[in-house]
Amino acid sequence: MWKTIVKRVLILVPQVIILSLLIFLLANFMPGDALTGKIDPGVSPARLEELRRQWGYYDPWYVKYGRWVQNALQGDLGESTAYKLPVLQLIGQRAGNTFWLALMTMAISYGIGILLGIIAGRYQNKPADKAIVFYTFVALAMPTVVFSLINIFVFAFKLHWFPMGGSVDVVYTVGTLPYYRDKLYHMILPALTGGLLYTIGTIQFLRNEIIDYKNSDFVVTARSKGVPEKKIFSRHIFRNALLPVASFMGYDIAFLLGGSIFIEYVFSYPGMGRLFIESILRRDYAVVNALIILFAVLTVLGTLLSDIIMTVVDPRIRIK
Amino acid sequence: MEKKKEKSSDNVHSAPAGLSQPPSFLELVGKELMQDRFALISLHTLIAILIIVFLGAAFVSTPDSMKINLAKLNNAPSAQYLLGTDASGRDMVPQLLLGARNSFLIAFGVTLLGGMVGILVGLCAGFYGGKVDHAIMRVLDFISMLPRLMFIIVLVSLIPNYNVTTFILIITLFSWIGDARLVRAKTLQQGSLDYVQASKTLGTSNIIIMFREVLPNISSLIIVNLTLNLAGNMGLETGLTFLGFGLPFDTPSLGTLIGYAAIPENMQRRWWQWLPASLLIFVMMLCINFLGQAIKRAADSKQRAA
Repeated sequence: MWKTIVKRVLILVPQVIILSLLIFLLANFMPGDALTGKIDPGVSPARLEELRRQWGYYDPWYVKYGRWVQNALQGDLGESTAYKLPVLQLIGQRAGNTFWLALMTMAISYGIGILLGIIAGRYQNKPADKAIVFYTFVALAMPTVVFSLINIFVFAFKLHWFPMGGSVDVVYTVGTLPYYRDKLYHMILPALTGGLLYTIGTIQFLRNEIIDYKNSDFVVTARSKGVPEKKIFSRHIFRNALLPVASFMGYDIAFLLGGSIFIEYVFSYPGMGRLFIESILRRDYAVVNALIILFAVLTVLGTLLSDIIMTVVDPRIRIK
Repeated sequence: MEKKKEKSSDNVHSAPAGLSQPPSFLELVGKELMQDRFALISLHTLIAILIIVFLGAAFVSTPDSMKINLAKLNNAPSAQYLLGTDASGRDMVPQLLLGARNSFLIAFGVTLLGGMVGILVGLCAGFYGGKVDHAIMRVLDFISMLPRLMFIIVLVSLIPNYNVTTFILIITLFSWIGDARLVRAKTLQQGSLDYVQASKTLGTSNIIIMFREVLPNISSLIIVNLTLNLAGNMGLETGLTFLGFGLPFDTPSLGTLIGYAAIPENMQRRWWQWLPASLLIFVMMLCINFLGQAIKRAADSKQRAA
């Protein structure tokens, strides 16, 4: 298994190289350059020209790419022109927010998904199952943006249960207990929004698994031996059906860390997704490049993690 | 050679007289619809919405409905303006009609184009196998690794002559992947079946086997996939336009209308500016999904309701 993991990680290297080249070329075509926002308007065009020449603005793309790779390998991904901060530091500030939000979303999503999935599978075609299946349809048809807006409208504007957006009120000092409590409070509504929508995958998977297992040989054997129905479900069916769910976690981590753009945007939540949109709008391409590469690597690592969990929980499957 | 080909197609396409024909896919879908109340209601609702939207949109012109009217800013719904006006004094009703039409057409275009590319690539990969398959799969793997939403946003903000066509092309760049994977997997399965082997032995050309013999056999699954994609693409278009990376600003879309809610004033006090569009996209996606599920059951004999 170690051999497979090493192989998969090694495949990542050429993929990231091609990706970085692709992104770099795209960024090269984008209008504007780092000097646009950096120099005060009093500087003469001649001096600007000189600076551009000095900074290598007119170098061919491969020279620029070489320089960029050299810096990136030393941990320098450039500087954000909008925030006047090194890119890594800027992303680091936002990464924590996105990470905690993703964690909470996942907890809600799996909590609801496992519960409803088991109920739906156990009581197939009963009213409870029908209601749950209907819920999955509604959630599948609900665009994330619309659901976020409706939640803000109902729970923040009308009922005042939750704040409208942001990640923390400015009145609290960093590091105190009320500060963390307020952060948590701000996270609940966006996490619920994401959790309620993303849970459908888990519900559908669990329901199908349980229904499949109901007629499998080992369940029929257990039943004919006289094992009580309750025990058949808890000991035989649920245990088998639940294990693969653990392996979804890898895909979900990547999906949530990257796919939270809509939710972070609507809730004005200062995470990486929102940073991406802001950076695109401000033509802050160093940040955009770094974020895209980060998310691509996360996607691949997430998939790998899922495959590894799968082989751990289910010895019948071996990565080939 | 010619003779052999004729013979083979005779064998494949005509059933011996006297035997009952298996029900066609359309008949199966019809039967499934009659048994599933939600799917039937969805079909009627969707047809009604599409007729209203397309007929209505035919009677309003985009430039007229996008004209600013300073005397009518933010009017609440009234007899004259059924759904009120927006911050520029524009009537909401024609914007809603045009927006729904544009959103649907774009999703339809993306689904169709992505489907065509996906079918072509998937058939080639699955049918030829070996090196062709290997090369195509590497490309698919690479594109799957890219953060799709981010890449679309980067491309949208980068294209110089940005318009509806380029928007469709950009989304299609990523939407064909799923279709290609599905078609490839199914073609691989079919390729090992006797009828394909027999047809090969008889000397039928690869193109004819792929498009006339394999494709019809997997078409029902493709239709299911495309239907469900249609709903997903509508959501994607709306979301992108909402963020400001979708349709150009002067082209109404449901996303633009939903975007009015990004201004707290509008969300709090002017529900008529964003709620109708939000509900419309939700209802349309819900109907398409219900229909898709009914078609899915019709395509899969295991799930079929008796």
